[in-house]
Amino acid sequence: MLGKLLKHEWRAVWKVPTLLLGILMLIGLIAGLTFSMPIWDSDWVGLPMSGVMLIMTFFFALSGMNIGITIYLGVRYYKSMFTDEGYLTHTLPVSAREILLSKVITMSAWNLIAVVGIVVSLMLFGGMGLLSLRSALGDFSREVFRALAELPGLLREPEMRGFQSFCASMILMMLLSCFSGTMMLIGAITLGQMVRKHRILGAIGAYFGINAVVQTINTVVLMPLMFGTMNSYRWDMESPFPIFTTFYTAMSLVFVAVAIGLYFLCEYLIKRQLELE
Amino acid sequence: MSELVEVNNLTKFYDKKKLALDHMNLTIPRGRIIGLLGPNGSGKTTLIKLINGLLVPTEGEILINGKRPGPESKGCISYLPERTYFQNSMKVSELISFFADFYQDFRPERARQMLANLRISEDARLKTLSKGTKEKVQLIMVMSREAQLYILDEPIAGVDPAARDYILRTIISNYSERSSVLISTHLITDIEQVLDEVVFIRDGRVLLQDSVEHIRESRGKSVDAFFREVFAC
Repeated sequence: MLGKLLKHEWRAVWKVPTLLLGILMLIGLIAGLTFSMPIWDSDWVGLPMSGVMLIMTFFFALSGMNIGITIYLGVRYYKSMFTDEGYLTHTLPVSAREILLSKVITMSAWNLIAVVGIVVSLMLFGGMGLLSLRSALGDFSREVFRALAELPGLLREPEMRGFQSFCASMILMMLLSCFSGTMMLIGAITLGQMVRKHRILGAIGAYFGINAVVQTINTVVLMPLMFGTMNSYRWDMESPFPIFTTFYTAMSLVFVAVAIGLYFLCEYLIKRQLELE
Repeated sequence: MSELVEVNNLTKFYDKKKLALDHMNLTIPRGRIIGLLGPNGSGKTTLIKLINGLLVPTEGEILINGKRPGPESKGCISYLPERTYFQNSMKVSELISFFADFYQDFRPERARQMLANLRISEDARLKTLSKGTKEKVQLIMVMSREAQLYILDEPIAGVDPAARDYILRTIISNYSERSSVLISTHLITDIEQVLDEVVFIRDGRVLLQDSVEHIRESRGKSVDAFFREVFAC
């Protein structure tokens, strides 16, 4: 049944995030292309400000898309679980676990797609922008290839020790944050339902509460780790990457632990405390 | 064979202070069309939601085919809530495939036949339909299942008299030895003709459970008249 739930959840969700991602790509492309237009060669006094405005528009679009998808997924979860649509969701012959898993998987997947979308739109924006440096493009490519050729040797330097692990920890954190971010949203909305008369306010309050708990746990876990590492670290001799890797890995573990805890709490609440109006 | 539904000592509080059901005991046998009747706030919808697993009891238990509400019971109950509960952006045809995917007992050909009878297009999106037509679509979906228990909460309140007759005929045609229909409504006169039994509820308790025939014989009046007498303000 989980497969069927996923199929129908995906069908119900895909249109709005796809539209938002499409708009972002378009803005990235247009903004990037604008930089490659000949107008930038003129002496007009407003040009620098226009350039800044263009870059800002793109970054507003980036965060707008991200926030838009998060809000849409949150509203969709709330409506399908706790409003009139919940009457259909909760009378399907499936377990609470399957219902919750279908939501978590779909929302996490869309968070991941949003991250990929951001990276692609940055590449589009940057790539199109680079066209404006057509004359210097040849030199630029040569520089990039030269740097890439030197990279293996550079990574063997003592100052770069642990760079690969650092990159891996960053990517891991990014991937795990798609799941932990989803669980924080789902957790807040589900916990908010316990405040029967003010469910939305309850959800907003729960979101801040969960964030405060995560920050506190992070501080408690990271502080001793940070002081311990700093004391034994020789700043002039060693690479800083292992320190960052340790921090990011610890943070990822905290986020995942909180997300897993929230998952089981939500499952319990949906199974044992469901009160549809 | 055990009763289809057994409600034992069921109590439900909202927010720990508002009592909706008060140690209720009730059985729903197989093969009957039962009217769940009572004034506003008597606990009808709360009982229905509890049977469907949309609320959790404060005390007591509900057994459907001997088991508590869960995926198994939801597979054999076909429930029509008193509100429109489908996603508005869906097409009628998408609803048919949704129901066919999840309910083994759903009969798409029956749904299509009923849609055709009521001249409702399968290509229509729910958001383009009137409230009454949406309610008809919901009822068609619910009645196109070969469920063991149909629970209909105010099924005829929002539809025109012609459709009302059609709905009642549909309910009767679904009657079988193994399935029961539980109908909650205020429009007693309209449904009295199809009922085998009635359950009167007041203040979260069962006041009476009797056959329609027996009420007519022993009281010398219709169920509607008897209801007005019992619940006179």
